[in-house]
Amino acid sequence: MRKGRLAVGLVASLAVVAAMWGAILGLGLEPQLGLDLRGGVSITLIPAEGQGEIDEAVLDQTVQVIRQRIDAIGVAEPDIARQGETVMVQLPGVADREQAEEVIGRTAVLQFRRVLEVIPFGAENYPETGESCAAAQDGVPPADEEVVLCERAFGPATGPGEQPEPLPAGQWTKYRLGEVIVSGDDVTDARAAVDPSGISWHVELELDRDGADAFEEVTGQLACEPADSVLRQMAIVLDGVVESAPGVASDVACGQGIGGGEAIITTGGGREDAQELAVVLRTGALPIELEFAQSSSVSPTLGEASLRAGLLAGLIGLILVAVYMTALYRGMGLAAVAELVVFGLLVYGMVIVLGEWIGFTLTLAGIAGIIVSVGIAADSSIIYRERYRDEIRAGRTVRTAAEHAFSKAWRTNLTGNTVSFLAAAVLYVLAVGPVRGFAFTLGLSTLIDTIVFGTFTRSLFGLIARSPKLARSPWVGLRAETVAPDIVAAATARSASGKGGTR
Amino acid sequence: MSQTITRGPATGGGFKRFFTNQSQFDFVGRSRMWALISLVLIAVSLLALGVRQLNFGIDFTGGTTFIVTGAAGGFGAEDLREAVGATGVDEVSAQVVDGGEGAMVTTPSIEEVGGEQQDRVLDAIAEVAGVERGEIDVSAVGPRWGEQISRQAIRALVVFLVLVALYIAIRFEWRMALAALVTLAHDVIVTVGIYALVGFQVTPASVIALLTILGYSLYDTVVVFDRVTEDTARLSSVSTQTYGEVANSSLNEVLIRSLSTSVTSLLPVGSLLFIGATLLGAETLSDLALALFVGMAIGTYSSIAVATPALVWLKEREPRYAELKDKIETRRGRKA
Repeated sequence: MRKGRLAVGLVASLAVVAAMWGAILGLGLEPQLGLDLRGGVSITLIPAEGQGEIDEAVLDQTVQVIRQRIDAIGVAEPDIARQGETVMVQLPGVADREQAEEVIGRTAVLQFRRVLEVIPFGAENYPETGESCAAAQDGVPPADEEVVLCERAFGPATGPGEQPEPLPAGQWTKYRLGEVIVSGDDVTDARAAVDPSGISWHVELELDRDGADAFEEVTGQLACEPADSVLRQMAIVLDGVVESAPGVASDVACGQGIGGGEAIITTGGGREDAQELAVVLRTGALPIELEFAQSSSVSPTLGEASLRAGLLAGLIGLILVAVYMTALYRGMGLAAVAELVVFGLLVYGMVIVLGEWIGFTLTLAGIAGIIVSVGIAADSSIIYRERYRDEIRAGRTVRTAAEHAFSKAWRTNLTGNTVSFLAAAVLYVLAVGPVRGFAFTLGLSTLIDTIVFGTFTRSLFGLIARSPKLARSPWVGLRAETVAPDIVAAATARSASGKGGTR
Repeated sequence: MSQTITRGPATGGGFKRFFTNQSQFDFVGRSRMWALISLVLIAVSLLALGVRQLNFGIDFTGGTTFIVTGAAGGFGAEDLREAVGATGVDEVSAQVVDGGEGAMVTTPSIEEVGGEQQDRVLDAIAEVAGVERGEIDVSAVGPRWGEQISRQAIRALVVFLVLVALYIAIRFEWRMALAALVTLAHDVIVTVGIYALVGFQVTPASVIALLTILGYSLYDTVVVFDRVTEDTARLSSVSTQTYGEVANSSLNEVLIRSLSTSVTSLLPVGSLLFIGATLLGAETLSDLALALFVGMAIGTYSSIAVATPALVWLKEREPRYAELKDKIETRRGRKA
């Protein structure tokens, strides 16, 4: 390669780095940090077992419902994504993990059913009616037949202001219930509001057309029952558990029902109870049953500490490698350090730019990927220098040795990096969660390594080798005397004894 | 001049000779010794796996970890264990760091994410450490998550191996692909064996690391094979060296590169290990670094002591190289 083209390669690669960092600093760009580095809540959900093959559209719908539920609790910038059957919910900042789990965890299958009979614990027929309450909680009760379900029971409050202790499932109240009248899908809106008296909270419910019709008809029937009868009650069932069973109010006329698709559920509790019920009613039932696979929260302080530790580890690693390379290859080692710095600037710059372009977020695992790639980048420099040594040993001049060494090292670099890139790509495509962040930065670094090697490294090495002054200096470490002293000694010995020619 | 074979009179001691690529270790000739060492390593690994089994972290088994930061101090790990134990949770492990400012409690038995048990433990820890509940970071893993990620890891591994074998077979030849796969199998078994033997905890990070190690080890192997291919291309029926001998000198030529690369790879990973170990909550970093550290060491060994001897064994079964070897041996035998 001509000297001019080498110079162009060097200038061009430096210009790219300068332009990239000029833009980053000029625009004040920063990497998009993952939750483990900036703090936040991450929750992963997978479909519960025994649901068979799940339709893509149903999964998308599920993600949509979860998004609505999260929006309902008002978290800034929530990220809800699906990868295969895995649903990942990421809430940055100081999100309330328990609240988020609560609203997502309501994989609520919501049903409104007529109450046919109330069987309190201790009643004669309690033991033989239905299954035990512990068993009945699991799974979705069939919609089109009579079922026996239970309502949580609490013991007496232990003192003023104390929450009453929940009783074991064996003592819960059983309800014999009719078919489903209205299901979660029919609910269009639900709001918590203060009732006209201004004291207690209730939930205002809005139903769609079908729901409204069914609701009106059934409440009309219920209103015909005697005022104190359990048959006036309508049970609200969430995931097979009776949440409450409000009676139709006494002012509803028999045969007329509650029309207009609007109803009020008096919860009897405070604001929190009403709001929670409203969220559950509003966001409806999830189309499939999900279970928590993993959930974690990271405080912003912990995240910041991790970020600092990761960057520090990277910096220390880079410095150690720089010291080693300089010790081993003298001036050419310093050139290798320059190659590493260009590589590092490009990788970190790309992480920032890609954060801006495609929303790539840097996680702790991603930082680890970059740190690991320092080794890969250093190896490219090492292979070049070792190849150069071989070429010098083969008797080439500094300049031709540099060129021959490049083409051989280039082939090795391509072959080796193809393998590394394959590993990263396979990991990225097939893995979930943190592994992907790692694979992404590893793959990115491998690509950048090959690019830097083909441009900056090649030009820098080539230009040094073409400078007579630098090539002869013992400190640069290109001279045959430094690289292969034995060969030189042998040649000198031969020419001294008059047998060998000059090299 | 036939470049790779010429050796001038050695200058300097063994160390200097080593750093100027003049080492002449007989790696291939001692392939029986390497095979023996590797077989022993594999046997010990398999035995360790059978006897001790792997110590899977909560990401695989399910469980919950609580991390406290910014506490006032004045409590010990024993206090935490007792308080959490009192809520009816068994298998509690607790550690306190930074003089009581931070603490970590791990309970493999709480497998329900966001359940009542977790609630009670949160209260207990908040009381002991004197912090608000909301300030405790929780990482909870359900019982089925581990199975899910293991399945993905195995699938990734199989796809990766098939692709890499294809690539090497196309780029070089099938015997090299086979030798590389043998080397990989060796690396995986021994790394996993060390994990079983020492009892290091297996986390998703160690699985990532294992896959990376495979990439590294292959990369190393490919660099060596690249050189072997180049050097053995000159072999003909009248050559004075066998395939194994040429491969051995290729190995010696890239030896300094292999070792330098290992050093430059291990330095950043080592700093990662060190930093990760001193920071609470950065277990991802230290788990990753630990597995990388162990694996890279094995990968370096295997690319020298397993990959090339295995390749030579395969190649010298090819008629032309077998004939060459016979011829050279008879010639040398006659000379002797």
